[in-house]
Formats: sequence, structure tokens, C-alpha cells
Amino acid sequence: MTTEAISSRLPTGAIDTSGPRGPRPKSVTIGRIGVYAFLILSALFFLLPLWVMVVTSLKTMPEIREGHLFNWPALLTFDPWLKAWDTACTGRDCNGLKPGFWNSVKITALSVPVSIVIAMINGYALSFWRYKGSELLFGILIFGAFVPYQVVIYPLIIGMRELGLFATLPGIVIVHTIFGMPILTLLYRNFFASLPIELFKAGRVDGAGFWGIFFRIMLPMSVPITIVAVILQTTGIWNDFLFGTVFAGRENMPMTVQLNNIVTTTTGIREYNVNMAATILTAAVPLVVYFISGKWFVRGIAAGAVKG
Amino acid sequence: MTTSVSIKDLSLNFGNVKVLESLDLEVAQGEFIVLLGPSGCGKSTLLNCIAGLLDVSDGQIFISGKNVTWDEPKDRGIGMVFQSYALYPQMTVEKNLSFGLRVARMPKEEVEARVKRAAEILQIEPLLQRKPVELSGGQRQRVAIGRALVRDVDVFLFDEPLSNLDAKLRNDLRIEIKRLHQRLKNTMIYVTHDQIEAMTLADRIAIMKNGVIQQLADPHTIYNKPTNLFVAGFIGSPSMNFLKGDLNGGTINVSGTPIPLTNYAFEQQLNGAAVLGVRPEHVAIGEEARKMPFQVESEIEIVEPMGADTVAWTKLGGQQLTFRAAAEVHLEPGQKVLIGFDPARGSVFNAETGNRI
Repeated sequence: MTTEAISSRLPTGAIDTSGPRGPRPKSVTIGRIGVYAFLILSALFFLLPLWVMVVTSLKTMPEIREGHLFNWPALLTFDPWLKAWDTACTGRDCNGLKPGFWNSVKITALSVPVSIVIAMINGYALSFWRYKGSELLFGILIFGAFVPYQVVIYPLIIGMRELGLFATLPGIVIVHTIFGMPILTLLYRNFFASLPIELFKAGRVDGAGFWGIFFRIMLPMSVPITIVAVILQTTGIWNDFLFGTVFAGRENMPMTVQLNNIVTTTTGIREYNVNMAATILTAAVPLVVYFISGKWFVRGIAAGAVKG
Repeated sequence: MTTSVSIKDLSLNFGNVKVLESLDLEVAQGEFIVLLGPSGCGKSTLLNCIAGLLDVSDGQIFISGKNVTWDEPKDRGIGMVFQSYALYPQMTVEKNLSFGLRVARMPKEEVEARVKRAAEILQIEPLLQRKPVELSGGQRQRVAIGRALVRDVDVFLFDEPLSNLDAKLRNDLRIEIKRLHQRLKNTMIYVTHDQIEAMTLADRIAIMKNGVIQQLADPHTIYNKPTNLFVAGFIGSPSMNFLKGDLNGGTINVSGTPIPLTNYAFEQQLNGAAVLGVRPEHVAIGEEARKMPFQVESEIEIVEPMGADTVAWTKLGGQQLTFRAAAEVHLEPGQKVLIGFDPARGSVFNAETGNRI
């Protein structure tokens, strides 16, 4: 076919070029306004309890009794906060939430690194050093994520008692490590599985062994996923109530357990302002973690790890 | 000539799947061997076995006269280059190159000297302080080669090193690898699915299919005297024409068109179903065709201009036949042309076994 033959088939008349050109203009539609209106209203609705908590914690008890739930305090007071932190009574002790806070810090600060280091090694071994039965072991570990905690609590209590670790700090750290293991191992295994296997092979050809490849090649690469793991574990362990009640013992009672004791005290009047302040104080740590690390946390959820 | 790598009766099974079966291969000192085959043929598996990254099910591997069948990769005297470069992302180029040496606790001066020499050979000195992310694909692959280079080993293993690069870079780096081989004279075993790489680089090519080496020969022999239909079809682009017919007394009858196989060097006598293989580039047209022992008039169906030359599709005895013509020759679908070829340059295969006869 010749060039002339092709060009003779093209239309000879001029084309109308006055139509759309360039990027399509962005338009504000009714639907879009509706979507935003709905989102804003939902956000306000879900923020309402927080608002009530904050304003109640800043009111004096007489003002609370007036019953204007949503009003800004007429007489602003920070005494409930101080009382919640320092002098609120749980049973016979009147030291506020302070000891619970430091207990929670201790438990979290120990459990998070221990569980993450073990899970990291697990995930690394399961994705790069496949051995006979490694898939089965991984399956069992994942199955562990679906076992309801209540089922294993009693055997675990007996086990801890026999080891002499019941109601001790190492005891509660071990419990958190065990229960964090399935989800964290999954997280790390999936992360390591996403790295090219050739990286591992190159390490072996270069003469690095199990630990050499782990510490010198894999560990420096797993910073992003470790941030996700730290967030998951920190918030999870801080928010824990069940294990804290059962395994921590009176000496190491975490903040959540102490909060519960303050709020459910049955003697005397109910100090709603103190209760609200104490609750906000307890929730503050995970809230701060969420706010600081929102992007990373979403990534963690996307990585298939949603901790209940 | 001494043997550098020797593989004896090697088998590898993954469960019930036999990936490699009783494979034997002898590689001479300083030889460039290319393992070529379609994906899943076991070529990369074989390379991983040589490297010691996979445990073999049976057989032995010798490197430089030493039985390394049970040795760790680092003790085998090999360096390896991977398709995805596999550079350690958090280390600089310099640290990447020296990693293996540092793991082996080599004295600092020696490490520096070796890194310097490798960087010089590969011309990556200006990149030494950069991280892999800051490098282009071609630079990364050079660093990966450098990592094998610093180890000062006898045998280099390449696992599809150029497959991730674009066409132009691939050509450039291919030449560099060839130059490197000529300079260092190491034994090199190179895995690829790219026949051009295989033909241009190899001293000998091992064509593999289903874990078995089909033919092990120099590129010229592989191209001109393929040992079976698989090799014949795999090497060459556009691929060899296969004309099915009946072989009888030195003449093959292709759907009613008799083609006399005068001067063809038969390796064995056969009468019956056979396949005549003719390379598209061995088919001549027009005046050239008149000089050929076999000529036939045919109608052109499709024309593919490639720039340097033109590939045309036609039929011979009802069977598909492609040929390559010079770009200047004007061809159009529907045109009738005289084509001709010399059957002695072709290959005849037993239709049943697929083997060359």
C-alpha cells in the first residue's frame, strides 16, 4: 500500500476543534456536597462522647448535677484531673492512677521489644530458612491467632504458678509475648516473603550465615515494618485489661485495671468528673500513638494485621 | 585443557517433581557456557545447585577438581550475579562490594585493594559512596558483577543478569560481559532465555528442556545442525520453518510438492514421516532463487518490515513458510514470487522421535 493511497482515504473537510480540550474541569456536584455533609455529621456524632468526657472532667460536681451534659463548664476546674492522677481511691489505696501508669509503662516497655524480637526471628526463619515442617509450624502459629483468649487462660495460670511466675512482672511480659506472637510472626513473615529471595541467596554466596544475614542484611531493611509492629504492640498491650487483671498481680496492676477499680468503686458518691479525667488519661497514650503514627498504622492494617 | 566445573549424574527432585535428572556436564577451564532454555526447563535450578543454594537429591559437583557437593556456597570458589541485582539496599556500593570480604574477616588493606581493582575494571569508581537506589539499572548490574569480582573466584555464575534491563542497555552490558571474560579468562556459567545472548556470548551452549540437556555444542553447530526439533525451533528468530512430509529415497514429499534432498548429509537412513527444517534466512527470492537447487512459485500472505530486513509469510504445499528478504525488495500481500532454497543447508528430522537424521 502506498502513502498516497492511505492519505486519499483521510477525510478532506476541516474538523470542528472548538470542543473540549485539555484537562476536564472539576465541578462541584450535589452528590459531592451530600457526601461531605454526611462525613462531617458522622464525624461530629462520633466526637460527641469525647466532647462530653472532656467538658464533664472540667466541671465541678454541683455543676454536673445540674444535668447540662453538653455545656461548656461555667466554672472551669482542673481538680478532677489532679485527683484522678494523684489521689483517687482504688479500694484502700488513694494514690490515683499514677502507680498504674508506671506499671503499664513497665509492662509495655518490656513486652513490646521482647515480643517483636522473637517474632522478627520467627518470621525471618519461616520465610528464608524453610525446613521440613516449617509450613506446618507456621500454620499452627496462625491458628493461634484464632484461639479465644478465655480458653487458654486457666491452663496458663496453672503453668505460670508452676513456674513461680504468676502475678509477677516477668509473668505478664511472657503472657503478652505469647499472645502477640501469631499476629507479629505473620506480619514479619509476610514482610520478609515480599523481599526478593535473591537478596538472601546473595548473602549466602557472600558467606553470611543465619545470624549474619539476619543482622547485617534483613534487620536494617525491616525498619518500616518494625514501626508498624511497635505501634500494634504498644496500643494492644496498653489497652489490655484481661491479662492485666489475671496475670499482673496487685504489685504490677496496669493502668486499665486501676481505672476500672476507680470507676466502679461502690462506696461514697460517684465523682463523674474524676472518672472522666481518669479515663481520658488512660486512653491518652494509645491516642497519642495513633495521632503521631496514623500513616504507619494504616499501613499495618493493610499488611493484614488487625489486632482485636 | 583442564576441567573447571564437572557435574556428574546430578538429580534434583522437589517432592515428586523431577526438576533435573541424571545430568552430566563438563565445563573446561576458562570456558563460557550458556544454559539456554524456556522458563521451567531447570536451567536456573542447575545454576543454584552449582552455587550450593539448593541441596541436590543425587549426584556430585566438582569445582576446580574439588568435590563441593556438600560445601556451603562461600566455600565453593564461586561468585554469583542475580537477575534482580540483589544489592543490599542499605549499604553503599563500596560496602556492597566488600560485604563478602568483611564477613570473611579479610584484612582492611586487602579489602580496599580488591574493591578498588573491581571498581576500576567495571568503571564504577565514582559510584562507590552511593546507595543502590541512586543507581540506574545498568550501574546496579555492574555493582552486582563487581561483588562477584572481588571474591577473586574461579567460577562466575550468572542468573539471567540482563533480563531486567532495557534492550539498549542489554546490548551494551552483553558486550561488557564478553570483554570481561576475555580479560579475566575465568570460567563462566550463564543462564538465560535469550538466544541472542546465548549465541553471542557462549563458547558452548547447553540447550535445556524439562531438566535434560538437549544439545551441548558451540553456537555455530547449534544454529546449523540442531540435534532435534526442539533445539531447531528454539534457536533462530523468526523460527525455523518445519515442512512435514514423507521421506522416500532421498526425496521428501511435502503435501504433493517433492523436494529432493540432494547433498544432504544424512546421519541415518529413514523412509517415512519426516520434517524438513529450513531457516527463513536460507530462503532466497527472485534472481537469487533461480540459483537454488529447489525452487517454487508462491504467493505472499503477510509482510512484516523489520527495518534491516523484511519477513514474509507464504505457503509451500499448504504449509506455513516464512522467509527473510532484503529490506529493499518490494513485497506486497497477494504478490507471486519465486522462492528457492538449498535443502542441503536445512535439517531433516524424524517426525516421530523429533531427532535429526
